[in-house]
Amino acid sequence: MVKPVRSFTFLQHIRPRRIPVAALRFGATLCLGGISFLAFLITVGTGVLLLFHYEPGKQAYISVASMVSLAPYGGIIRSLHFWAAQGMVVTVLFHMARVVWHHAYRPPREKNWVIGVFLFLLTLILDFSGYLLRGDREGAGAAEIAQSLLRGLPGGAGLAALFLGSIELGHGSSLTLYVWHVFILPGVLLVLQLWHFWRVRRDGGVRAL
Amino acid sequence: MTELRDRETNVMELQDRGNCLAETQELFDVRPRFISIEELQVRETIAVFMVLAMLLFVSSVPLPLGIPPESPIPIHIKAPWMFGGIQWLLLRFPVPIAGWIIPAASLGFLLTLPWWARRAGVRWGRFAFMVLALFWSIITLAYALQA
Repeated sequence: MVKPVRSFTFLQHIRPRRIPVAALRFGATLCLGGISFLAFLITVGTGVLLLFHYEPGKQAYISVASMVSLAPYGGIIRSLHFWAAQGMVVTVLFHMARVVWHHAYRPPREKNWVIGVFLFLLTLILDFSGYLLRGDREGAGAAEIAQSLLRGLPGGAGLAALFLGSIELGHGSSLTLYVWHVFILPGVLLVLQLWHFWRVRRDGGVRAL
Repeated sequence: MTELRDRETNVMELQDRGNCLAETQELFDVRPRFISIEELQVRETIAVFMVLAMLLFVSSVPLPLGIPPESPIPIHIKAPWMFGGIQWLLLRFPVPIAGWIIPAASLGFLLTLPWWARRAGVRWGRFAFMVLALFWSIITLAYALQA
């Protein structure tokens, strides 16, 4: 008997050919996981468009202002990016509450619960880094608080430099933070999300054929 | 002997009735147990458009720019709403407790929830989660009202 290729079984689990009706009842999931993934995709899509105008560092605020006032549809794309990100945080929170309410973290779904908690944490960090990248006074203040919190840890100065980069007084945005926000955090989040969905199916939520 | 035969006959009659009833139920139970991937895609497309419409409606309200970094006006530094709870704690408790110990303990509780619930019972797990959620909701709301 020929064993199926592993990547193929992964795709089969992500998109099975038949889905039990019981697993798709609206009341069972409230579609919260799906909506949060959709919000992630919208955030990525609008984020890619924002990349064409955004400049990290000292020019961050000016680039955001010019994007909103000069770039075609710049304002609505920025709004979509912001609201999709807020929607993602809210739906992830409610998704967690729904899972606990239905005791859906019980075996064999324990590992998937842990993946979900890391997804929640990453979503918060991603949202926070976006808040700092706006380059305004509030963002700069929040960056200073985060920096002093990190520096309070043993070896925290290095951690602060690794995540926040060289943030100057009055500017929350930096190239290091930009790289985290645009590449590293969404990349890790995407991989963990795919693993999360795969585990949902593997643990019996929706079985592949 | 006659009694035994009567009993057997009764049992067989009951079995027949039961089988007939089960068959009739099967005939009437035509609800599908599975749907195809195509039907799922249709449902997903509808859901995507609904969420997109809602997001576009919300996004039609212009998002204001923050205060410019060069502005000389002193401001009250605000945390993003999801970290409002931590900032509320930071204003009242020592930094290591408010900034690290309480958030790390909450995260640690969430990570180990399945194991706690297995030992103490799922109802206890749900109750503890709700207490934690209520705690963070209240302090986040308190921070929002204060700011």
